[in-house]
Amino acid sequence: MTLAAIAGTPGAENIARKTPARTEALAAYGLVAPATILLLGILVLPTVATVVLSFTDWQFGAASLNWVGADNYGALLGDEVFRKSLTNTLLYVSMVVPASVVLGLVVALLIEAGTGLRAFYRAAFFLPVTATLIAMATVWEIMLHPSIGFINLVFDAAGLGKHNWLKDPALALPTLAAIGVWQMLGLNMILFLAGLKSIPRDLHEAASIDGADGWWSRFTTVTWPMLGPSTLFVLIISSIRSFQVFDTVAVLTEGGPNKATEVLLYTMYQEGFGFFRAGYGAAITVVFLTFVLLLTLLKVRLAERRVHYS
Amino acid sequence: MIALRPSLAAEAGRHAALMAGAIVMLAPFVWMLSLSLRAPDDIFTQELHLVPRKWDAVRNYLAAFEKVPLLRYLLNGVVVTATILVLQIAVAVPAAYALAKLRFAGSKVLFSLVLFGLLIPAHVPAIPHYIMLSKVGLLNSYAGLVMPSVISVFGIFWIRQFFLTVPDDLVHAARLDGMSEFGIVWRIMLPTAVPALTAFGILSVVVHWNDYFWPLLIVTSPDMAMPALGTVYLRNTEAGIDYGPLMAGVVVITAPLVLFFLAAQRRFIEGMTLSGIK
Amino acid sequence: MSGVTLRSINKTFGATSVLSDVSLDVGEVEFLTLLGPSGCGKSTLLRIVAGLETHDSGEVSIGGRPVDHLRPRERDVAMVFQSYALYPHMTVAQNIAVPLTMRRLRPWQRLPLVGAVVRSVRERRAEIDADVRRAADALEIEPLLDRKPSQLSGGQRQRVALARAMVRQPRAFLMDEPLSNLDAALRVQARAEIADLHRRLRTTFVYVTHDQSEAMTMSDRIAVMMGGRLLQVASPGTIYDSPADLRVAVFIGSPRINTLDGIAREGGMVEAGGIAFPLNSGLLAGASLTVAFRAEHADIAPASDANGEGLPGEIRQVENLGADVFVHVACRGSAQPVIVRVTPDGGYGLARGQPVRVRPILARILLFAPDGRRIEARP
Repeated sequence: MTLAAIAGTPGAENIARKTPARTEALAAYGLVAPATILLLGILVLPTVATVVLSFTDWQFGAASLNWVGADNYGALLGDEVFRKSLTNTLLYVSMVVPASVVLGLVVALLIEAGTGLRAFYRAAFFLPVTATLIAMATVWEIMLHPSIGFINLVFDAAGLGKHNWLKDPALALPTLAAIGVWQMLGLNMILFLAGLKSIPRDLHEAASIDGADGWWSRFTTVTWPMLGPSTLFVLIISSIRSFQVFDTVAVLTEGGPNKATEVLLYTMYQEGFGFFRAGYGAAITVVFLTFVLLLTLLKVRLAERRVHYS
Repeated sequence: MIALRPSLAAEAGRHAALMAGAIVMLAPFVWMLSLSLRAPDDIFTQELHLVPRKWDAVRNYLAAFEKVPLLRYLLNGVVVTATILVLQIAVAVPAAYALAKLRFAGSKVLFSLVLFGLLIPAHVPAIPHYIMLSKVGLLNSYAGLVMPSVISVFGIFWIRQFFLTVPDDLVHAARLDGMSEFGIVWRIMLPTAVPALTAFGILSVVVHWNDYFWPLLIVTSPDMAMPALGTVYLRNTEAGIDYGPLMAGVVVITAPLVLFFLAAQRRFIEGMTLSGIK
Repeated sequence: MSGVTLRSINKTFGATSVLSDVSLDVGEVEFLTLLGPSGCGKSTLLRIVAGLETHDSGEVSIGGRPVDHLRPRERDVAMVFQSYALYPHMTVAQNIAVPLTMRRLRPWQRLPLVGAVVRSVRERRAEIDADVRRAADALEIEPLLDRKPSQLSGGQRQRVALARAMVRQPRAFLMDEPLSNLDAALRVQARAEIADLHRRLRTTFVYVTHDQSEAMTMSDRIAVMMGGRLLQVASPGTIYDSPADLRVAVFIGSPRINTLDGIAREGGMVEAGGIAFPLNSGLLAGASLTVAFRAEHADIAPASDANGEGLPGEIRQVENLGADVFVHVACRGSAQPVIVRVTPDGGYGLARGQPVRVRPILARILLFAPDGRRIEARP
């Protein structure tokens, strides 16, 4: 064998051998290219741009922009409306998330506990998710009408008196939160139902043979631990969604009365698109994003300690 | 939960609790329908009754269509949500297949990017999107309404999770049978993913049909409004408290999705439970 | 010309070596079975032949043509998968037609309605239909052509998978445990059908299984794999009677071959279980080795036998299987009881606790070195 052949063979073999793997990778790049480009162009870069913008004083239509460092954030700290808006949002989230998650779980468990009318209940509780929230908010507004509203008629009949639900500063935010729960509960229920379906039947049977034959003991030994991953997912989804509360505020209260329902996205919308202060609006958006990310990370951290499998 | 022959009392309690909840959930829909059928003075009443005493359905619905171009809003809704869904699937399915079944350098990075994208609410990039669209003159256009939603990271994630459950051997068989990777995506993976795609499709349509924020930002002429924004236009035409036409309009805006969901309910639930959230 | 040839195939997953230096020649019309416990690398090897996995080094040729650089579809092999891998959304007929449409029609010709418009496409579709019917007919699944895979039983699915593989007359058939999802009765029937299919098609079959009875009944030759290495490639009879490695001897055959710790003694003797056998191992005196014999290559003598030859022991269990009786005897030098097969008549009167002697047939005793290699005993 010549030197050239010795030197040449392994190389040639190498190229020939790697080809199938390389074809697979090439095909993969072709398949992910559109998604990757769009992901970067539509999601990642604009998000980065929002962060960059938050350090400038740019206004829509302005010819120039100046780097103002953390000035926007400093102004936010001193901004009464923003502070109110942040607390309101957190308050709203802390009302909607627990209520919609717990109720979603309870409804899912109740639906799965028997066989009768399952499809009807599922549809009834999920219907508000599919309905246009803006349109339904309008219905709620009429139902909450101080004098002729359905709810006040019921309250009055029950001897609880009439309330000005959307105009009373103490009631406005809880009322919006109730509408939020009404709208979100169905999605949580469906996600929990999916989680319940994925628990193998054998586990329940094993648990009842092992002595956990009561409803509650079965729930605590099998159902609840096995729902861990679903619960985490539901928690994350519902807090991200409730952080984004905007529609009901924009239509029903416009942040009022007296800023009692001012929330982050609504403030961002007004600053950015009402007053055209893009830089300032971007800073609010960044705060909004930070809270969403922090909250999610916190939940994942907490869950990692308790959800051991999956 | 397994129901080992539940006692009658337990079953009755279950129905009582669920029925009470269902009534609360459905009350706005029933009330909306009821009001849309009534004459103004039957709406303006202190008495609680569901069945209208004075019917005025025809006037209400005709008035709703007269005040604003409701059909146009519905058409806009159909065009925009359908375009978004088709593009989302066209972009997400190949990527989800590659992420689930192919080995390539960078797949981990791309998947972490997708996971990160899941956490970014659609409102975050809104200001730069607005600037981009105004630069290219696409505000107040279908293209502008569609653009931010062309990519759905949720869709990529969701479909990938489903593809993970498809046996590798199915892909192997297709390769041996002579299919290209592109062919495998559209001829094998897409048809097997129909249940997962149905669930995703319903969620996507629901989100975009009902979206208010983005149309509010970029729509400037009444005829480009999406259904949710159209409701607000209709609401703004209302000077007094003639709720009949408003409720009629709301019924028209809400009905397509509600009916669509009721029709596709079974497949939707199937798709949701099939994919599994892990 | 040969069917499938492998030259020094190596494959690692991360730090673990899955295949090391595997070389194998499969004849053009041979039925070769890759047999081994799960995780031995047999499936990976099959997938490397198909082009579904890549090897780190070595060479694969099919029909004398190197295929390392070729994609699966260019290798002209068909594969039957353990899960059958039928396309769930297509009918049986469509499933079987896929390999043909992919090869005989160009992408634009596969579009719906083209067949209705373009005459050449219509003709080709008709040919494909005819071929699908022929394959379905051969496997007696014609009545199922319009069903979906989900409407079929396990046995029917397996036939559809076979039909999809044979419809385009590939150069080699690769089968990855195609019977393991069938119940026992169906498996015996399917075994005969696959063997019959091989006789009719007269082409290369490479069959992967962990089931030795499948391997023994269908194959021309068996390649026994363990830990990513080929231990022995030979006919079923040779593998059984003359295993080249202790691991092969232990893996093949039920009940398991009896093994005793032994020591080579001077004068062409081997000592095991307390007695000396006149077997010349060729090893130095004092070297340790393993003495092995199968259950049917020994008999049982009463302990009181005057000749006094055979391994002394005590009966632990008598297993009566009807045609055969397996007697488990605890003997010195063997951790597990020695198992001896006797006829029902011979087993009569044997009982637990009884002291007996086990007398192996000297000519059928196998000797193995400590590293597992077979030592030819010279009497």
